[in-house]
Amino acid sequence: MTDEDKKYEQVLKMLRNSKPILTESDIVTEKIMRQLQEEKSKISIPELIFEYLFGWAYIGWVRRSMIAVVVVIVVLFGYQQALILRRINELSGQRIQHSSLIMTNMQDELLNKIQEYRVTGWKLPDGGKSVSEKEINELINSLNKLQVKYKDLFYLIENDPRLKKYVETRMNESNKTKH
Amino acid sequence: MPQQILIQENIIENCRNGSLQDFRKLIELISPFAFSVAFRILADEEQAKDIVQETMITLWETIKKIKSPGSFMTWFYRIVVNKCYDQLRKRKRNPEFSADDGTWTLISNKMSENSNLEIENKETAMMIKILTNKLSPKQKAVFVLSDLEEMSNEEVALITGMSRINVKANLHYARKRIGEMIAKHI
Repeated sequence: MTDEDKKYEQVLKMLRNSKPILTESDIVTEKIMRQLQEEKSKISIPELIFEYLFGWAYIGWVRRSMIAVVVVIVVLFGYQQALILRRINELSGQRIQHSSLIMTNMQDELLNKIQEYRVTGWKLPDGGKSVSEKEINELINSLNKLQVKYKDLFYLIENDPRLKKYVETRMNESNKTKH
Repeated sequence: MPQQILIQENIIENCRNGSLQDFRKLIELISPFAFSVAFRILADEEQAKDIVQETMITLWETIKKIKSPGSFMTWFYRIVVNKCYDQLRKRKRNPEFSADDGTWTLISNKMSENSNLEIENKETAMMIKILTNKLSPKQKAVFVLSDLEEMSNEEVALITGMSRINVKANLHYARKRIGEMIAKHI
């Protein structure tokens, strides 16, 4: 230990030994008590009501229990939200039948396909190209018009087996070349 | 804490429930400790008494917020130290102290007499003032709590809100400055 350290220790020891003494401690206590009494009498009615209503929040175990309850509620909320989201995803994957879209006149394969497109959310099965309702209505109208316009022709074909066979053969060939 | 204060838990609990009678008992028990810390940090008897009063008022207002009676003394010392910081900040705006050769002579004389001899408050204040004059408020607080009140670094860290490393650093710096001053003047 150097001389400086010794001096430092000596000064420190001297200061430690000379513990400050609070003189007139009674007067200090009285002053504090008087001030507290004054402040207590100054407390307004709203403060008293607030204290009465929410004073329990200062109690340790009440506060801890409330924190626990809040945590449980938040966890439950999160769990419920996850369940709801899962259910929504499940429902959106299912087919929705639109009763208003039942088309009684559609016997044709094309019309069935159109109905299917409408039911599956306006999406073409071959990949992503959407069809608007207006376009489908136009398609149905023009098909109906064609059916009316060529009603006699259909009648002729139906009644003539040779002609019917010829048309079917040609249509098959035409379909094959398309594929 | 080195000077363990025996406070019955039910006194604190009664104070939390608004008993002024028990709070009076609490003041009588703990005000000397508040005075000791405040006096040693501020080196001024009257200001230290004011700090004791302010501390007790704040304690009464906030006693319901104390989580457990076990942490009461840390809470109490924290209020004292924070009040001292406020006072030191005010003082910084109005510096009044100038080093006096007479005080160094007084320290030398007391050292040569008998270090076990108790010194009066006034003389102690002069000595602390001259020794800690060049320290920052944080360094003063750490020096007083660690070296004079003999608290552990962990306790000082809890009271001052500093990390233990910061406490050690501040204490090292404070000791160094005080050591230099002692070496220079004594």
